[in-house]
Amino acid sequence: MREWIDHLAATNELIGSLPRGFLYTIGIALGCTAVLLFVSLFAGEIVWMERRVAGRMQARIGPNRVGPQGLLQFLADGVKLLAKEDVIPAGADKPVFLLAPIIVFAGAFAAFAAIPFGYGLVPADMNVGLFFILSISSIEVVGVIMAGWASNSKWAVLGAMREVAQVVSYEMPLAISALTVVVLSGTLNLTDIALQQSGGIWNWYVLQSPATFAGFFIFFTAMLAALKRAPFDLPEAESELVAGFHTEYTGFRFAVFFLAEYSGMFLFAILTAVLFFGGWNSGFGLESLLSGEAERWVGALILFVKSCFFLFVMIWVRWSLPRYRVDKVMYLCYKVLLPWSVVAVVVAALQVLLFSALGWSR
Amino acid sequence: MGYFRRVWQGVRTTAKGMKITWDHFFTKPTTIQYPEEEPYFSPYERGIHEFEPDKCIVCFLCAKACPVDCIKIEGSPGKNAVLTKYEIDYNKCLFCALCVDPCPVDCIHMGQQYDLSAFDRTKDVKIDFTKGEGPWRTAKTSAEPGAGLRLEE
Repeated sequence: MREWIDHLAATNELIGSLPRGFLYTIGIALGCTAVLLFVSLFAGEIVWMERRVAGRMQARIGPNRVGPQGLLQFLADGVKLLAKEDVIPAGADKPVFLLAPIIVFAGAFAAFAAIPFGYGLVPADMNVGLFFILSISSIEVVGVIMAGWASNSKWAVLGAMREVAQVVSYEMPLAISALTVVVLSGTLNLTDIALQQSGGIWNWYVLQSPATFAGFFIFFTAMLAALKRAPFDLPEAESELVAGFHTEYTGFRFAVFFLAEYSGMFLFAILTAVLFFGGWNSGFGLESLLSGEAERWVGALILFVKSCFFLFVMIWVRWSLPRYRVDKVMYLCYKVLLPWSVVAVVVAALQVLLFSALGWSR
Repeated sequence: MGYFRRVWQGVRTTAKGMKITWDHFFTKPTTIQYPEEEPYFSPYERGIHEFEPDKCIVCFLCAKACPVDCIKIEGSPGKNAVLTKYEIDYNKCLFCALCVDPCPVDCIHMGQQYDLSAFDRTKDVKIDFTKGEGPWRTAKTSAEPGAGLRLEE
């Protein structure tokens, strides 16, 4: 972000004449607004995408009436949700109940601060980007537990309990499988990780080592658990717990939970594309044909298309696989994903040692 | 089952399940976009009746056969039969086609018209077939007269 503003100030006289601190403040405020707007609107479109894909997988069509091909369906749904009565259940812990959706929303959106949408298109280019994203996105869980506990409902409490049990089991394989890439790249900065994957498709980290190849599948599985999506949607489990932790939420508060869930999907889709699938690099040298701003925005588009693909895979998984039993989730996370992710990190470390001993670059 | 076999089976069955939905993703949706597309009906579909007032000899056999008494006929029977009213109340009609069989001149049969929606329950749902076309028969989806297969054929 800062680099970009500097670049703009250097090239444009009017912008360059303004004081730099003012420019940064305005730039950051505008950037945050743009990211928030884009992510909120796109989260709505992910809902549409999910319903259309689910429809096709069940040999039906899905919403196609509101707007072209149903693209504006989420607006109609949003207006409907805003018109609903705002119910706070009797006996609910009111302050916690009201705070929970805010925390879920903040946790889901704060993580976008470190997400690179393209080269230089990152709101805050921090050197601990990956660590920041993984830790901030976990704050969402606190909101979920608060929502479940404060609702004074059996379903909600059961959902929150399941979420607690799930979070302690998926967090470790999620972080450790992301470490495979960090071990190879030697940085937590997502921009640097994406830059290291420029060039051909074989430079993408998923094809760099068997460790990252396995790491990708572990990361993706743990990610589905982190997003509370099927087959790991135990905390909301419609068929068992009505709606789990957000059973008692109505209207706008429910919409906030929904929005946070789908923007979390977008977050992790971009993260997967950046970590394992070359970020904004097309993989066949498209960038070398372009330069400057065009390269930046085409790169952003490529990253967007890649993240859309991962969104599709997430939706595909959701409409294919049935929900896991609670103990099976524990089994999968502790006994399968965790040991294999540790093995993957060790293999990645050995590869780095071996390559440096042989004098190869990666 | 051993640990490794269990992990392998998990991977294998997941891939198998994903394959099934992937194949279904490319099948044609079975949905019929109702107002724009017309659903297919069997030739034996029992929709709203088709009635030919010129043939009718006012014998009241259809009204007698009707199990719910939804056919009201006014007119004079006989050699020079005059039919002044032939009204079917679709509030009551259960589309059993029992009125079709007894007709000696084959003037009533079941049509293909499936769209039974109407705005006024007291007026629109009763059709007097002597007064030309009822509200449904003028609808876009109205099948051609005689399209319904006559049951005795």
